[in-house]
Amino acid sequence: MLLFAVKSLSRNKTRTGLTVLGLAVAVMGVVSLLSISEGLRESVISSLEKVQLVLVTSEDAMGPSVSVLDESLMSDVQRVEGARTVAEAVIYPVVVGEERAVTTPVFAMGIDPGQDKSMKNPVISGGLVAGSMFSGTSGHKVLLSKKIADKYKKKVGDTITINGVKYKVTGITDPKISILNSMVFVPLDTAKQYSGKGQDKVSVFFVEPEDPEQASALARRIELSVSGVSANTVSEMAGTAESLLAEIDAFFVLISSFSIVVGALIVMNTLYMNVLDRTAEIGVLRAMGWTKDDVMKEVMLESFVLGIMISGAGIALSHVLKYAVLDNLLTFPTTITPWLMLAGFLLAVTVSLLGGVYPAMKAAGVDPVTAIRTE
Amino acid sequence: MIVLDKVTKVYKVGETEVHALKGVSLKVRPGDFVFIVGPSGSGKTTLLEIMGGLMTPTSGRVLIDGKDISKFNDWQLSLFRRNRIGFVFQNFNLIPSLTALENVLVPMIPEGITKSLEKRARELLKEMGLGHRLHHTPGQLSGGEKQRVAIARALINEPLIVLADEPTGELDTATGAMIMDYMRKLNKENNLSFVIVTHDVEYIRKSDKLYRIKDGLLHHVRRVG
Ligand SMILES: Nc1ncnc2c1ncn2[C@@H]1O[C@H](COP(=O)(O)OP(=O)(O)OP(=O)(O)O)[C@@H](O)[C@H]1O
Ligand SMILES: [Mg+2]
Repeated sequence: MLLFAVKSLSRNKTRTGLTVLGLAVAVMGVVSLLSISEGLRESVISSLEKVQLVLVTSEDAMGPSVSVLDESLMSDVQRVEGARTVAEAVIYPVVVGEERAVTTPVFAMGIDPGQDKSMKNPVISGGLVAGSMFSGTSGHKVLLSKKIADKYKKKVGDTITINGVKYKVTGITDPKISILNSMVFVPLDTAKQYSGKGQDKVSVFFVEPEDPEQASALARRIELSVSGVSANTVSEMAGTAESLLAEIDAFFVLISSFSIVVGALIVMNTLYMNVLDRTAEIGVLRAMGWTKDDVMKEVMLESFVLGIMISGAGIALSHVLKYAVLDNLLTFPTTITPWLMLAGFLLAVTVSLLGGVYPAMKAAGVDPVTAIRTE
Repeated sequence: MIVLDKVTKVYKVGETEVHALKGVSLKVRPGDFVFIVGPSGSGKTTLLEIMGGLMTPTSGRVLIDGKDISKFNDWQLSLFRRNRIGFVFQNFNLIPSLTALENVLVPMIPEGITKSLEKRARELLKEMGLGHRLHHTPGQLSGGEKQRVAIARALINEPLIVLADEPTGELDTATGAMIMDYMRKLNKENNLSFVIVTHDVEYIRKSDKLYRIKDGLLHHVRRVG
C-alpha cells in the first residue's frame, strides 16, 4: 500500500514537487522563526542575569538610548542609601565604517573610564578581552565590543571610522550586559560633543549596589528619592525582556499558524486534484473489492508520504537559511535544535494529514459504478 | 451457484424513472459459460453490475451460494467483490502507472501482498502468455495483452465467477477470438463460471448458454444463430 501511495504521488511529479517545495518553505519559515526566538532568548536572558546592577533612565523613556538625564542628578543618586558607585553614560546612534550601507544599527556609549574603574565589577572594562581602557574623557579613542570588532575585523591599534571621524581602537571588551554587546565606547566628553544631547545631559546612570542582593530595593529607593527618573535592576530588565520575548513568540506563533493553514490548503488542493484525476482508477479499485476505508487509508497514506517529503525538504531548507542568511544577518546565534527539527517534522506531517482528510473522504465517496462507466 | 430471482432495477433521473431491469431471473451453475446479448441500452451492464455486487437491485433477490447479497451494505459488498468476483471490462481499466504484475496484484493490496500471492500473479500472467511482459506498463502493451492482464487480475482472488462486459469490444476479431479462447480454457480447466456480455455472436458455441435481453427482460435462447 505504501508503494502504491508513492507511485500515485510520482504520477504527477511536477504537482507533487511544487507542493513539497511550497510547504517546505513554510516549514522553513516556522523552524527559522522558532530558532530566532530561541537564539534571542539565550543571548538576551543569559547575559542579563549575570550582573546585579541598577539602570537609571529618565521617566517615560522608551529605552536607554532615548533617555535624557540631567548630570546634576548623579550626586542625588549617589546619596541614595545602598548605592556604591554611580557611572554616567551618553548613548547615541552612530554609523560605523566607511560605507553608507547601514546594516544593523550601532550605538555608541560615552563613558568616564575613571567612574567605570571605580566600580567593584566594572561594567565596561570588566569585560576587556584585548588592549586596555582609554584614559581621560576626551579624544578620538574607542573601545569596541567584541561583536563590533569581529564584524569590522578590527584589532587593538587599528583605526575605525565612526560618523565619518577616525578613532583609534585602544581595546576590545565583551560586557556582560547584552544591551552593551554591540556598542562602541568612546570618552564621555567626545560623546557629549557628537550626540547633541547637551553639555550637562547624559542618557543613563549605572548604579552598583553595596549589596547585590539588594539591587531591586535600591532601584525602588532611587525612584522614590530622585524625581523624574525610572530605575530598574538588570534582572528586572530580564523580566521585561522575557515578557517582550513572549510577545515576539506569540507573534511568531501567529505567523506560523498562517503558514500551517496555507500549507494544509496546498496539500488539500494537490491531493484533491490527484483524486479527481484518478476518479476512474479509484472506481476500479472499489470494483475490485477495495472498501471505502481502504481507499481512505490509501489517500491518507499519500498525504503522510507527502508530509515526510515536506519535512525533509523543510528541515534541509532551514539549515540552508541559517547558514546562508541568518548567521550573517543577525548579531546573535540561532540554533536548530533536535527539538526544533522534531517540531518541523511533526508540523509537516500534521499539516499534510489535515490536508489529506477532505480528499480522502472525497475519494472514498467515489461510486464504482459511475466511475467505471464514464471514460 | 448464483441465482437471480425476479430482479428489477429502476434508475431515477430527476423526476423520470428508467426501468433498466423488469424482473430478471437467472441461474448460473459452477462451470457454466454464459453469454448475454441484446441491443444497446437493454440492461446488460446493469445486470452484470448487480450480479457482481457493484450495486443492489431495486427489488428481487441475488443469491450467491444461498446468501442474499441484495441487502448487503457497501462494506459487505466490497468484501464480497474482493473475495468472490472477477471483473473484466471492455476498456481494460488497468492502472497506467503500474506494471502488469502490479496491476494483477492491485485487488489484494488491502489484504497485504504476500510472496505466495506474487507467485500466483506471475503464474497467472504466464498462463495468459505474458511471462515476458511482467514489468511492462499498460502503455507498453497491445490491446489483447492489456485484456489478458485484466483477466489475470480478475483471477487473482480465485473468484467464484468472472463477469465480463464486452471484453472483446475494443479488440480486432482475431485478438477477440484469442481472448475468448483464453476464457474458455480457464472455464474448462478450472470449472470456473463465466458470464460474458457481447455483441459478437460469432464467438458463441452450441454448448454455451445464451440469453437475450430486451427492454429489461431476459429470454433463454436454445438455438444459437
Ligand atoms: N446511472 C444511471 N442513471 C440513469 N439511467 C441509467 C444509469 N445507468 C444506466 N441507465 C439506463 O439504463 C438502461 C440500461 O443501461 P445499461 O448500461 O445496463 O445498458 P447496456 O445493455 O449495457 O447497453 P450497452 O450495450 O450500450 O452497454 C439504459 O437505458 C441506460 O440509459
Ligand atoms: Mg453496457
